[in-house]
Amino acid sequence: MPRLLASALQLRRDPRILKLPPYVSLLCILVGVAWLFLLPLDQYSRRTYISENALLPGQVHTYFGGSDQNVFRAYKHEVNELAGKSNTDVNDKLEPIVKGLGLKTARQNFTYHAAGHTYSGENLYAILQAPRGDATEAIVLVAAWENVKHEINRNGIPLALTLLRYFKRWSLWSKDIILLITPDSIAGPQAWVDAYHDAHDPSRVSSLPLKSGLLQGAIAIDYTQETRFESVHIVYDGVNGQLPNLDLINSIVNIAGGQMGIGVALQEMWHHDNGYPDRLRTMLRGMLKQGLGLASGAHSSFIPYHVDAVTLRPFGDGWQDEMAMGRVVEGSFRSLNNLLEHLHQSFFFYLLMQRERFVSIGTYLPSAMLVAANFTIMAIALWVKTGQPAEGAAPKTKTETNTTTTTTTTTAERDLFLPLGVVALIQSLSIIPLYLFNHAPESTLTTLFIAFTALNTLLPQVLSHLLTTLPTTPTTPHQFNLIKSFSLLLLGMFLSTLATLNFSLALITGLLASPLSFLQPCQTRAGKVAATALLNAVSPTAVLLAGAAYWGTDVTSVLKEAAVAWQVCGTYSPVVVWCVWWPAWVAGGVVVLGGRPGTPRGVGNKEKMG
Amino acid sequence: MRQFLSLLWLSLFSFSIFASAADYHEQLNLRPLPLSSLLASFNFRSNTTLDDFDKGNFRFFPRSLAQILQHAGTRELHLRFSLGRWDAETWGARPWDGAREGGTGVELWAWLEADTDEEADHKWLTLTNALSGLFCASLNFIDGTRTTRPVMSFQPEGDHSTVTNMHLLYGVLPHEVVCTENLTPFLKLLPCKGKAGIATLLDGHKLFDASWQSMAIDIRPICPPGGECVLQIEQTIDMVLDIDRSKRPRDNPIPRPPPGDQLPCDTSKPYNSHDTCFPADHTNQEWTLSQIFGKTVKGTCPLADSTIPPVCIQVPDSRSVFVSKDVHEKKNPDGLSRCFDIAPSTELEMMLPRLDEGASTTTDIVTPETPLLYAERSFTGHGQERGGVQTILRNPSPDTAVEFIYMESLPWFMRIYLHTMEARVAGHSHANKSLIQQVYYRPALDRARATQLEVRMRVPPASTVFLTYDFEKSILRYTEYPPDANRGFDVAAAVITILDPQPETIGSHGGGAAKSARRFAAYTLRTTSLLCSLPTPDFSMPYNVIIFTSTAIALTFGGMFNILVRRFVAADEGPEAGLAVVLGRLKGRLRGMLKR
Amino acid sequence: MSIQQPPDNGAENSKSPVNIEAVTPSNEAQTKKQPPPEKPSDVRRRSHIILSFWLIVLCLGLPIWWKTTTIYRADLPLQEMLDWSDGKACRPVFPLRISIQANALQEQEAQNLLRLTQHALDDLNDFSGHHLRLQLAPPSATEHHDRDSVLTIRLVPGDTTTAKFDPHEPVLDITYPPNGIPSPTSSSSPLATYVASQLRSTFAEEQATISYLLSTNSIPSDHRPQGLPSDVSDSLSKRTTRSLKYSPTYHLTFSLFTSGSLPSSWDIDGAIGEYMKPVLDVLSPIHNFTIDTQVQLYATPGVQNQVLNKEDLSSFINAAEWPLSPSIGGAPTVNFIVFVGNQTIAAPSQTPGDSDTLGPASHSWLIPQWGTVYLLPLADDTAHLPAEALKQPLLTFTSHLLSLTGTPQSGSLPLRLSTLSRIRSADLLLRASSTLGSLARLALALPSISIPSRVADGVSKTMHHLRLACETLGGPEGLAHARIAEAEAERAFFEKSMVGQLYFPDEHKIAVYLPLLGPVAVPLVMGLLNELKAWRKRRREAAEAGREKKRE
Repeated sequence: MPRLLASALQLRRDPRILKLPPYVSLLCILVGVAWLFLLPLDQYSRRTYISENALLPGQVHTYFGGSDQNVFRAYKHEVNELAGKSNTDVNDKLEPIVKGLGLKTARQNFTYHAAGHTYSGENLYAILQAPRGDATEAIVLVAAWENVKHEINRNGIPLALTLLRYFKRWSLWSKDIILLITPDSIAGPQAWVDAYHDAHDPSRVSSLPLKSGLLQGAIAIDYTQETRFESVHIVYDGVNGQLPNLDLINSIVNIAGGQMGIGVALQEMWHHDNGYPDRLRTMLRGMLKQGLGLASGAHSSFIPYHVDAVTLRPFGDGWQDEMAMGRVVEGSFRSLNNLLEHLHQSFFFYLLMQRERFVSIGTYLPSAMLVAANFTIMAIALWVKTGQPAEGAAPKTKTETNTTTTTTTTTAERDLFLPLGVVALIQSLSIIPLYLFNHAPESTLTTLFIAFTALNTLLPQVLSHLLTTLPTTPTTPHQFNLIKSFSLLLLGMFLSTLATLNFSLALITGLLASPLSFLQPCQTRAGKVAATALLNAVSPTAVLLAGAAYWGTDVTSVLKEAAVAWQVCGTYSPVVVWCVWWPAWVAGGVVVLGGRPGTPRGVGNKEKMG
Repeated sequence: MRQFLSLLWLSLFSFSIFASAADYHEQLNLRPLPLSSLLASFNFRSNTTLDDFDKGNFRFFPRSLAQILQHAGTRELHLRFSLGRWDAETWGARPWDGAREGGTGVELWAWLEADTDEEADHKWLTLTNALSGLFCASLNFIDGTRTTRPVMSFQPEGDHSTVTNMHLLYGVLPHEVVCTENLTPFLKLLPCKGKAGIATLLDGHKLFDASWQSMAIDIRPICPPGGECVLQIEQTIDMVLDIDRSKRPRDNPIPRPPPGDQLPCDTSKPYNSHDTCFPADHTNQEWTLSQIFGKTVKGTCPLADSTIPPVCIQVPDSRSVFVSKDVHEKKNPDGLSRCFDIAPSTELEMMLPRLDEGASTTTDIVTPETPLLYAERSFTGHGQERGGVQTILRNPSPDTAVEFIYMESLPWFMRIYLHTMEARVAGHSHANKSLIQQVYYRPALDRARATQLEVRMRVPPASTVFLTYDFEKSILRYTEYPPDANRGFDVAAAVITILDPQPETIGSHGGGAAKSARRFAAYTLRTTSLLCSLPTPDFSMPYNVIIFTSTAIALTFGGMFNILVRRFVAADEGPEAGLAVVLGRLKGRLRGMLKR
Repeated sequence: MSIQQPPDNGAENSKSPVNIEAVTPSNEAQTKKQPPPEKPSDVRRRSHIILSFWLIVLCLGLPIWWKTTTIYRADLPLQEMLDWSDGKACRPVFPLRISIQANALQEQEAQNLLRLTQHALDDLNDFSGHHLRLQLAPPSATEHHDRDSVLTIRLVPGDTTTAKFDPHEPVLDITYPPNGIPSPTSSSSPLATYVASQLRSTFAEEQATISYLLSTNSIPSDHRPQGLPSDVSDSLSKRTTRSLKYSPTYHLTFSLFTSGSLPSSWDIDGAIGEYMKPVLDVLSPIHNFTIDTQVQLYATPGVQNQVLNKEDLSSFINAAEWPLSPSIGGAPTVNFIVFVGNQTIAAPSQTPGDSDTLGPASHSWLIPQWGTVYLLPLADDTAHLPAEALKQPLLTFTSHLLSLTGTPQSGSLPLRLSTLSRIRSADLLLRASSTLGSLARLALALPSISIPSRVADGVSKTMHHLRLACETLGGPEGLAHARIAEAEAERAFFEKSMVGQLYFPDEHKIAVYLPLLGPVAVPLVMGLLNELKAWRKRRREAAEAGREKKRE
């Protein structure tokens, strides 16, 4: 035991070790990415299965249909008349209808301010009290008046009403059923759920006059399509990349596919041959959505409160009619109604790559962790390296025979004040963009962004210049190394923590920031220019622009989206971008441009000696 | 409503005063409610003289129950099985002024005769165990952690002038699911079983398909002035049936959508057509007893007091009720209810015809009377660590304030912060100190005693009051979690006893005592029960946890021990080490192998 | 912990953060250096540290661990208990003292007669556990018999030798012809043998029963009766299975069941007081009874058909519908049911054993260990049952009650009852000791079961009372002791905390202990070994040094 210890300590001194880290971290990144691409293979992904036995999906016969179609048509007439009316008018019209079903109704007002706009409206909701039930548990049926694309939910709302009327006839409900009709798909549900859990700000969101028990699940109907549909699209991403319990998705897939013969699509993959490319595409889309962490439907705001929810959206051109859709919802509600306990059996962290294949966190987490690890490794390596004597400071003892001992036995003092100061400064600077982009009104966003980009490109230059030409003590490269080491350390730490919360976000950020760990202080002017170019290519702003261009929107709307998400749903992606990635980037820039001409590289000439 | 009650009370008092006149009495009251539901309240009352009770001769009084009472020294007993919730907004005030109902699940309170608290607890234990055997309910789970001793909320209904050392114990099982197996023993207690009289209507399927139902057993000694003391058992079943649901035939209970042409449509709509129909539900509709209950009343119980009509219904006189022949009808003077006398061996069938269109909905049913108070309780906050409870109390009356006692018995793992308890009138931001008049608080002991909270407060007229308090969720031991830990833990309903504004002087004995109890509680209501989710561990973990922790401890110990006992020397003084050495050693070993 | 190379020139010596024992320049030349000798104080400290660790582990850790993980087992007198169960501890003997009142005889005549009769008895008797002792009652004794003897024989001169029992007292009146008196010289007399045979026949049943009980329990064969005739033994076994388990109190529940609505009331109180009370009073020294009655209308029997045959009888009781819940609180319930209905019972095949299973009018039958059902045909319109209508049922119930309590059939009632008490005490005694035995065997069989102290003192109480019972067998206090002993034994055997033991297999223990104890133990042991090695080395060096000194 002591032997091993000593030998390990000896190895630490071995010069060959010190050359490894860059390669190791590169390897980490490569393996991480390769890992990701292995996942869709059959060997690494698993078939989905239902682990909560109580759900019994598709075990019940569904009776919705028949003359309910007539009722549905009637309700649809009512809804169509309301198209274009104001939110309150709509509610005034709908409330008596719901009351007529023998339900208790209530309304809720909410107002949000984001990006200079005010998002206000009035939620209408009704509670179907479970016969023989006690107000201990509830399931929610959400029908937003407008979906995320601001199309009117022409079929969804009548369908929801008809379903509630049908549900009222059953006596088997063990949980209350709440019908929630919101003016839009993001703010409305968010306001309602917040108020339901008393996590709302009374000044903006009024509290609920009528309540039921614990919410056990929610299903949102987004049914704008007028023609008959072919299959159902399940939208399951929650705010900040949180996901509903896999059992919920599985049972809906099971009900739709197994019972009704309706196909199921995920992540807008309208056609999915169960092959590698499609799987990969599904997975990547899922990861991108997760990474952005925006609300993707009326269900999204339920998930942060541990209420499993999905949005069902019929699509395609087929022969399925509204009643079929209704039966899917009925089946799902019957399954949820069977639940004895809150959904807890199955996975909450997973990547779906096809409706029946997934990978769980244990399998995919390593890739993100590896990417995060590369920063840490580099940071430690730099730290150790700065422990070595800088060039010239190393003692040249002519008489010495075994050089290894000399070089390794000497240590150099690290002066930490300046590097720490710089890193802290940059970190604190990051508050500014975060605040600006989240609170500026939409009109000013564009100009603001341009200005910021300009500053952003200049900032590293200025900082590095300042640092190199400090009047008292000009910064040594070895201090630059320390700066880099600290910022990378922070980055690695943040990302590995984030990976457990929002895997995709961590991975994406990690990949985008990966160049930072390889940028060395460069001496030649050409090198500097090249480095600067590369640096700006991977700067947050540049990536933002690129992304906007790729999706054919402009930066402003992207920023506005982000601001709204931040204000309404509390999405924390902006924080990650501005307070984790951006500082690391700036620090990297400073380091790259900080190298003084003529200073040979630290690691380099030790080899010459050896 | 009042008339309905007055009728009931009249019969009750008349009975309790002339207790010796009739020994058994039963009555069924039907009351149509808005939104096509029907309240049916069955009431059976029988009694035995205390002398017979002590001698053990039982004629009407159930022997099995009497034995339990004697064995557990119980003077007065109240047992409730309830399911569902009373929809006060739609159905108005509760039957019997809420005196005959309990919170969801099973509720039991009793006055035991005991010298010390320990003795009382012991008797209580025997009582609950025996009752659980009798009623096939898991009453034996009412242990110390679910038992409280209310001080303000309850008063004995019977006459206990002779007894001094009585202990009131109160236990409740919110999670108990009341079902058919509880009804069968309930019926067995009746002198005529389910075989004759109104009890023939009682049938598990119908009863437990009701939207709200409550079975009650009340046993109290009553000493009518002059007459000898009797022990009275009163069994009550109240249920609200959804007429649409109940009219569905037994053999085909599935609510298939009706054929399009049978759908009641709102023809006034412009788009109304053969395939488009705006539903016109919940119009007044016709029903018959056999449709609702699946059978008719088979004669009367021969033991029952023939002077009291067995069946009454609360509909305005304007509405006509058809009954089978040789059943004769007695209209009440108030014009809002009528009763029917049945010959011992005739079957009673009753039919309420649909009102012709045009008749306003107000005339088809007696409009329910608004209750004295609306109460709604719900959790606030989210997360596994702490939460809050908020009770919304609304006083509908425009001019009179309501004074009541709000009682909670919370499980021990909900640790309430009493200092956070406050009551505020809706519209005001700050708490109003004057609302809470008196607080009785008995803190919980972990795993031993439940929290008991009784608050005497008042709600000013035409105002809503929020009563809120916070609590902390404690973590249970690994073995204390039930099998369905992730469902959450039920919290019993809060009991709200509205005090009578002008309490009468309590009569020393007889019906006076019974009256006085009534007077004490003008109205009783219970909130719904709650589901409190506690932090639940992953139950596959314990061994891993043990092993991990012990490994960690062991390693730290090893490190510390080494540092303490090792001697540190310079590397070149210590034994050879380093990469070269390791390699060299390996080489040597390999060579040795090759040599061999 | 960082190991720092010694600096190789003075310049850097100051710079090295950790400086350790000064290095003499002399060993700079050689490649491998030796660490400088440790200070003795350090050595001592180290050994102290290791020692203290070991002390803590041995004196504190192990005891605590042991204390917290062992199961508490109170020590039971196992051997004694087994002895009891094997009947080694107590030899159930029933000395029955029978006094003879021969006021008509002179002293020595009576003595002579007594001697002869005793001889005759001893010749007849084959069962040592149960023997009759005759004694002469003082002539002055009053007419009726004295308490401590079980039976009194009144010898009255008459014309022929007859014997008859007194219905109210355990007294046997024997008349004898004047010539029956044996002469003092004669070695045998017809009267003596007659008396002996009378006594023998009187106590035959009791003897048989007791010997049966002994034989069913594990009593060593030395004082077990030889060969009970098979028919006797199985009739006995029938009776014992039929009779209720002994208990100081019984609940008697009289229920009137009718399938219709009438009759709805009965005068059961009067009827009981009239027809049943006397017997209950007689039984009172052995049992006391609580009584309750109920009327149940609309009770449909389990079997509907008009004529009930033997297998219907078992299913006649409609247990699901009829509220015959056993009474709470220990004592068993005896149910007596009057069912108003005109069913009749098909005459069953009479087997010698169950001659009394069916009532005289075959309107009733006895359900073993449960009670009796009596079918009472009535007119449909009888609303009230008067007491006299209940006479026949109650008489049946009375006779059945006796056989349910296990009273023997033969002999006069008082005699039967005294016999009952003896049988009961023997029964209880045997049951208690067998319970003790099984408890002992259980404790031996399951080494991991915990035995709380309550069990221990329960056992000791049991044995104490058993001893007392054994001494006073046959008397009333013997019964009382046996009763207590039996109850205590039961309580000890069915101790809850003993049954409810958590299953915790050994491999789990290993899985839990190994990660903790393994890593902890290794450094401790290694440290100890090293220390010992170093110590031995030091001693050797010391010895060497000493020797060198000597050499110089």
